[in-house]
Amino acid sequence: MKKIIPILAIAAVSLMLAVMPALGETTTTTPPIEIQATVTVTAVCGLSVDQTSLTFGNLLQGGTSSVLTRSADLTTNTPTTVTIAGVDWVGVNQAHTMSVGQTAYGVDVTPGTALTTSAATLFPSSSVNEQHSVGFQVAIPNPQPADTYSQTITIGFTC
Amino acid sequence: MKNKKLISLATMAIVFSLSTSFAFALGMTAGPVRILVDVGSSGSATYGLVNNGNETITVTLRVEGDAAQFLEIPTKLEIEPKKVEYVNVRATIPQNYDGSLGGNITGFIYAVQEGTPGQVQINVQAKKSLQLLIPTYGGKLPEAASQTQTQTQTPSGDLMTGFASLSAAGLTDPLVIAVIVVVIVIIVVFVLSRRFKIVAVPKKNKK
Repeated sequence: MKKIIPILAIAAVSLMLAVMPALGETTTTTPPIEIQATVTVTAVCGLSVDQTSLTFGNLLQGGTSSVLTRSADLTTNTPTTVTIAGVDWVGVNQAHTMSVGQTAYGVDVTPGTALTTSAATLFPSSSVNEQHSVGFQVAIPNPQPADTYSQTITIGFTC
Repeated sequence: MKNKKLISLATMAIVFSLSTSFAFALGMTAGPVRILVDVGSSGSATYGLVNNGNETITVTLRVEGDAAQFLEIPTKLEIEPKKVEYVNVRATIPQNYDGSLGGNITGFIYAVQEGTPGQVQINVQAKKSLQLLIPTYGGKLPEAASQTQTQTQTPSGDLMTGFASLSAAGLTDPLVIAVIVVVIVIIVVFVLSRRFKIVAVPKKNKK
């Protein structure tokens, strides 16, 4: 047993010498690693309308249509303005017209605002997603020539 | 080109993340298009149009305003579902431009997605403002503004292993660690010597 002691001692010292450098390194205080991350969030805006046509059907002169509604969804993460504009109604016979203002619209309410050829604000400027119901109604003047009329409405957005 | 792809991917990621509750057919990247271009030269810029619908859409493009006479843009663009298409806007200021419109010429680019034909057709239109900045006449780019979020991260203690974790636990003295190692080695050697009956043979006296 006594003879083992030198072997143990040599083994222990050898191992110590081998391990000491590593110990020296590991006990050095390492500063915390800082990782700086940067991300740029792209500003995007968009608009959808669930159906992009309106059919009021057949109406008598002097008559008023029922209200047709369309859902307008604004999706945005930046200030966005939504506008609406239209053009005059034109018949198949292009001599037959009706003023753009015969069409009325309303956002989340009964239509009461006459459509115009210049862009009018449809929703207040928003930076967040919004969904609105837009109602439309047309009133036929009296007299008004019989014809099939059509109109184009533009819902615009800018951001 | 690589940056363009990255921007495209980033934009789509943002668009898709924003569209979890609403899906829109026509969208665009925000902010005005600004082109810095001097007299007698050309410049270009891009902006993104987005189709987040489920069908390919066709948009028609037009320019209005004073800038229109100096611009070239595609007149029609097809955008596949869930894709961003970048509109290349190219401006050329002729050598004989006399500065009558100043150094900051404005205009608008309209991208129109036409609705279904009917008694009333509802079009959706994206309106992009545009500026041509001509240095000779005082036009210059404003300082860039961007929305960035910066985050600093440091490794947590849970991530430290091995000697680093020992150090964190307070065992910072190398002597203490050395002693622990020596004790472990002695025990291991002792156990092994007993297990395999290793015995040191004493030297014989040469007498």
